[in-house]
Amino acid sequence: MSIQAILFMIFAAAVLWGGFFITLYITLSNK
Amino acid sequence: MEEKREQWNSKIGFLLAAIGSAVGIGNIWRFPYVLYSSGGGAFLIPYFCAIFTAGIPLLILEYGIGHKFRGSTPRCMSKINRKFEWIGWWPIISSSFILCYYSMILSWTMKYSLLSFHKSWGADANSYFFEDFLQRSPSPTSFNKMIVPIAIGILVVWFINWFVCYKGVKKGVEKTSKILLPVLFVIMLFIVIRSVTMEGAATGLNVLFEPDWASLKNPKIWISAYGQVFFSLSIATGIMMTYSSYLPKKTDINNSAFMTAFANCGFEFLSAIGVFAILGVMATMQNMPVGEVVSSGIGLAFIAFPNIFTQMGPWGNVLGVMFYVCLAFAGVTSSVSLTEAISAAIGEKFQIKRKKIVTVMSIIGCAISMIFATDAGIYMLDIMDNYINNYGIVSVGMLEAIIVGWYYKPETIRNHVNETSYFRIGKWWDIIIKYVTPTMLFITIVQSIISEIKTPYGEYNRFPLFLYGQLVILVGIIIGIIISKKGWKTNKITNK
Repeated sequence: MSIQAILFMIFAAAVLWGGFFITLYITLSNK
Repeated sequence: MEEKREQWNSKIGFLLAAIGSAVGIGNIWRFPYVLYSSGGGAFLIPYFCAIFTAGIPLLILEYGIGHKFRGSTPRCMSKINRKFEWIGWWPIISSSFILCYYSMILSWTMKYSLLSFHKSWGADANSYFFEDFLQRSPSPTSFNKMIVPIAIGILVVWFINWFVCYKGVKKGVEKTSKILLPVLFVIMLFIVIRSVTMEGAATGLNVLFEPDWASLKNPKIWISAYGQVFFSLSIATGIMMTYSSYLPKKTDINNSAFMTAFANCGFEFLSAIGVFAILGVMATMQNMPVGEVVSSGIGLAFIAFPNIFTQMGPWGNVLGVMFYVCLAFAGVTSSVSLTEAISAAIGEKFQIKRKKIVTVMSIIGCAISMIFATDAGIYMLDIMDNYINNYGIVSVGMLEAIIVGWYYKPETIRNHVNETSYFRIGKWWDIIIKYVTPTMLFITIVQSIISEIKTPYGEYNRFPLFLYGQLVILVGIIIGIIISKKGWKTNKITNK
């Protein structure tokens, strides 16, 4: 895979899944 | 007389149900192609812009309205102002049509899950799908027969819709979401891990993510991003307002909206990796450029992928079953949410108890859905889906934003959601609801109209386009206006 493609994949995963887990953490810690 | 409104058992239950509603078949078969054809990696920029400037703000709007007014979608709109009630009925009527043809697609996915065990579609998946499976008629107005396996599948789908919604919010919708959604994610993760390790996968992923920066200068790409996010999140369908109306008073609305959006978009991103890894494998096997094997929608799911699975050997059987089960699970949670939104609206308006309205609705819905089990069903689906999504749903979203932004005043909803939320949203939300969202959605509608005038959709004749498309839109508006003339029997609603 090209470096650009890999970087975009990582970028998108970080934003979307990182965002999901942060919001999940907030949900679980504010029960 | 006081009525106890149903509530979710837990916040996570609500979130799983909302995510389940948003995550549907389109996440798997539409987004990957949109990402690929709209500039690859570069498309992520307008896509993320759209998530943060339209998707999440609109989710906050719908969650906020449902949570504040504690009613079904038409009820909420009528509480804002009686003259807006029809705007709450329009998405319910649209969702009723969607549910009918969605049950047909789900019927296909269930059947293909079974076919996958032995790759029973044979060597030519295209011919099998249109000629043997659908037995497609020559034209959209030519109805010759009922396709029995599809009809049986539709019966099964409606039974599931009935069974889940009959049991109620906690024991039905929430419990189903708590089981199906995690399983769905695990299956998709497995598909992705397996497919990216196959020879040729990297080729597919390169093609998917390679950025085409020139696309950012094209306004259509930005409109496409907003369209994708809007459709993907089940906004303006009546579902999210209904679901949030079952939340307790003390709920973090803002965080819930962020989480729903991230989960939904995260899932379709994962699906894109899986789909294009598999397309890369196919292209490599056939010694073709990936661009020549790419497809989307029905073509991807029921023609391209069966062909790929056929060539993959034993792994094709495994991945095939998993893929169609994934589609089925994604579809069921969406189908159930549509059923719930519709029955909640009708039940509340006409004061019919849940068990009765869900049963009656399921019987009528199943009967109407049978028209999609005929040999002309696929034409009806194609036209109806195009018109309802591009005109019906988008118009409702635009009207919701305008009503809250210019009539009801956004700070009312903003203050309401901020009261119980960890993250407080600022005045940027007001600006988005007042200006950005209506503008983007208006441009989307205009673009659709211009495109339609230049080339009628699907190159169909005018009559089927009118019958299955424009008339469906008109019916939604007219029925909405008629129903809203009837008053609501007011019962004081309390929380359990």
